[in-house]
Amino acid sequence: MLEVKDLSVSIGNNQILRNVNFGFYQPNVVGILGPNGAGKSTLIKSLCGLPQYHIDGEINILNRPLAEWPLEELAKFRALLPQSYNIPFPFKVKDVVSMGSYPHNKGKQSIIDITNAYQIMEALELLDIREKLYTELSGGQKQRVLIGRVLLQLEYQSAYEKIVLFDEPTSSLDWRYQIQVLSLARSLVLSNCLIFIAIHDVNMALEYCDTLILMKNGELLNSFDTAEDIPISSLEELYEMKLEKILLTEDKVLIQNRAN
Amino acid sequence: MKLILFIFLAVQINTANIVTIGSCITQIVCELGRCNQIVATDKQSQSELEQPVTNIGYWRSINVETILQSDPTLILASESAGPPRSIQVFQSTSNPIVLIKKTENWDDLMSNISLIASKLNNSSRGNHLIETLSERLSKLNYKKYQDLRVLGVYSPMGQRIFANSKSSAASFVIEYIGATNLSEFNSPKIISKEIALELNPDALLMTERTAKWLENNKFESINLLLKKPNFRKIKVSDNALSEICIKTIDSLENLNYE
Amino acid sequence: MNKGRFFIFILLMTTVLLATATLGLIVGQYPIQVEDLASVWSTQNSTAKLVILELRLPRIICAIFIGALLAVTGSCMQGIFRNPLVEPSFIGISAGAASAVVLFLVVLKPILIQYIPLNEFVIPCVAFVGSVVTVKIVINLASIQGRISIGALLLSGIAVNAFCGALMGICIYFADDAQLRSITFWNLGSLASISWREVYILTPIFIGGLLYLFLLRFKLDIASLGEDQAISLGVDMQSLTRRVVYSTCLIVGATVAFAGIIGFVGLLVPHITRFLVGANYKFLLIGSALIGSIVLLSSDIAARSFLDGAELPLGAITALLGAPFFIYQISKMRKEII
Repeated sequence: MLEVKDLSVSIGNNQILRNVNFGFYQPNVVGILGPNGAGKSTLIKSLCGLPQYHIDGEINILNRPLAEWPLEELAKFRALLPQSYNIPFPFKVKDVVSMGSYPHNKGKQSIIDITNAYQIMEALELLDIREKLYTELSGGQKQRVLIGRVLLQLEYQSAYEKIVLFDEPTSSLDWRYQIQVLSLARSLVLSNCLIFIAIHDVNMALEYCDTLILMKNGELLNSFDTAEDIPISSLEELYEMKLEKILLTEDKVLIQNRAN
Repeated sequence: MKLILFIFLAVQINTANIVTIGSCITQIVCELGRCNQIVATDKQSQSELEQPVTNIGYWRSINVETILQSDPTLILASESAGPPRSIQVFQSTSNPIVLIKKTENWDDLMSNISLIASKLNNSSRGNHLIETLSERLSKLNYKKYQDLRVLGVYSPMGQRIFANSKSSAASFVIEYIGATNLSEFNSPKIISKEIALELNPDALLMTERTAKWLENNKFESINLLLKKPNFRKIKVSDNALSEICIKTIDSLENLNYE
Repeated sequence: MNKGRFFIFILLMTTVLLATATLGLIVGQYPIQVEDLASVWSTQNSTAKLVILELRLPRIICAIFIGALLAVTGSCMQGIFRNPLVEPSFIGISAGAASAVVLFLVVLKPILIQYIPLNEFVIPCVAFVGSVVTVKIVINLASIQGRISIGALLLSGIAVNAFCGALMGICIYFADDAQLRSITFWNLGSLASISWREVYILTPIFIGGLLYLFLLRFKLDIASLGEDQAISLGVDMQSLTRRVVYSTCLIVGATVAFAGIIGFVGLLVPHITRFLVGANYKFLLIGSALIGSIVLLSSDIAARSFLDGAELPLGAITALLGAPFFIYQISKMRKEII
């Protein structure tokens, strides 16, 4: 579904990513772990096709090189939940959600579009606030609205495989909303989606992600197919800290700073 | 009954609504005895009249509707009156507008007087005026200004000081009083200290208004000149130096030399 | 705001516009009776006919066109800059056009006029060229490897505005009386020189410009989400930015050419309109056009009717309306931040 070979990404004269290689072929939740400045966001955004990222190497999305995907076509199969939820204009909640259908209808809303949007808002408990102004919402509510937008974007191609990118979705939110978005990411796997989450909370990553990619200084250190099996030494190398792994239950672990 | 009708008609013929745009034109119309028929004029010309009339604005940005409101029978406008579009509007309609050339020399003034007089149906009075003015000019005899090097200056708002161009009214005055005109500029030029030193005039010609600005001593270049021994100022009344016109001739007979 | 309510809004605003236009035909220095207006084609009063048909009507139409165009381009600029405190003059369009004209009047014209006769049609062309050149410079400054950065665009706009201001300042210093008058006109804006010829030239710009920008309405909605999301939704932000900036440049350049610099309409009107019809561009663009026309038309009527014998500069009136509003908006934002 998503393949990356010898990927190097630079912005202007700054090289940010070096020789990154990975491939994922099944719907899956992939967590990208690493300290600040590791290049997590850059990796996510370069998978988006943003023009300021100069790309060397190959990116293949859904069996097609990124460069060969027309922007509008790619938008039907690949969605991004960004780090910042700021919209400066007083759009209504329902309008923001409806923006998700743009790749499919170019803005002109039909009954199908309206119905889809309605169902998604219902599922996300947004119906009560759908006439409210986005600018008046709390952070967590805004996140739900944008998730609704993302879900709508992916709704139309349910039979196909899709890619969803979450750029540090837990950065500035209440704990409750952090869990909310990660649970949602998990449930998207059932809709044929490969989900990439750039995340800095190790324990949350372990709980919600299937696969983990560790990044440091623009390079891919390691990837692990089963999050629980991740050796503590890899994490210590990544964060340059002494850590310990605590077994909570059979399949749940907790990573903590090792007190000495 | 017929007498009343006749008088009524006679009064109608002589009662015109004249609009003048440009202070020289206003001066000429007044000298030709038709001052009381001016119903509207520009801001600068208001001071030429005994009583202010309808103000149509600065002569370069007149208000068309105000002019039309005065129901004009004749509009005498300077060529450079503006905005150009407004002048065009008048020209394309039945309003009689006459454009008068800017006076850059004595001949211009003469031909303008003739033109205006003919439009006022009083060519003979116009000719008379021309004769009178020529006579007055020829009587001027200013020996004391010979060999005097004079520069005409003006300061529009007290912000900067300009030297008049060589085709200005100031140059006209300087040449007529027999002095040496130091201005060889095609257009007004800001006087810097260097220019003041280079030209090295013996005297400056200016209006009363400019003289007031100079009293504040803010122009370094002028202060330099004023410090010279025997440096003189030749002052004339306001309105005398904007164009070569009647007031200019008046001022030639009333130079304030100090 | 759904389609039904929007339709009522359009009806209401159009009525206000028509009423204002009718008021504009009647009000002015020259007294017009309502009867003259009603029978304007057949009236015996030829002066009234001249005033209404040759002086006021073209001016009213241009005020409507220019007001609508400035408001709509302001809305679009705010969309791509994602900032409600932005308007076309921020990237140097108006200043570029005006300084080109001033430079021409003070420096080039005195030289050229000795060799070739210059008619007044030259000035609009000079303004137009000035705005295009300025915008090209601003865009080049703000482009890194072909990609326009919005932040850099605003900064370059500030720099170019400052430069144009300095250029005009120097020219003003050396200008004589006649030139000073023209320069003041460009700086403060005025519809005094409008005749039917300007209307003919502005009509295709008005229709074409509004249509072109209206076609971009959905992309402008998406642009509000931010560059990352917009691209992920399939909107090419580079192309959209270029289209909006260049078309704004052409449109505003034309308005500066005929009416000088008129600021704050592009800032003030989209704000008011958003408050009334919401942020969706399909309502915002039409609403801004209507409200922009009403605002500029009213300002122009005030400009030419307030004083006796003189006209207040149009740009001064829009600034008097717009600047306090701008300050109020900033103070409101400050409170939110604090």
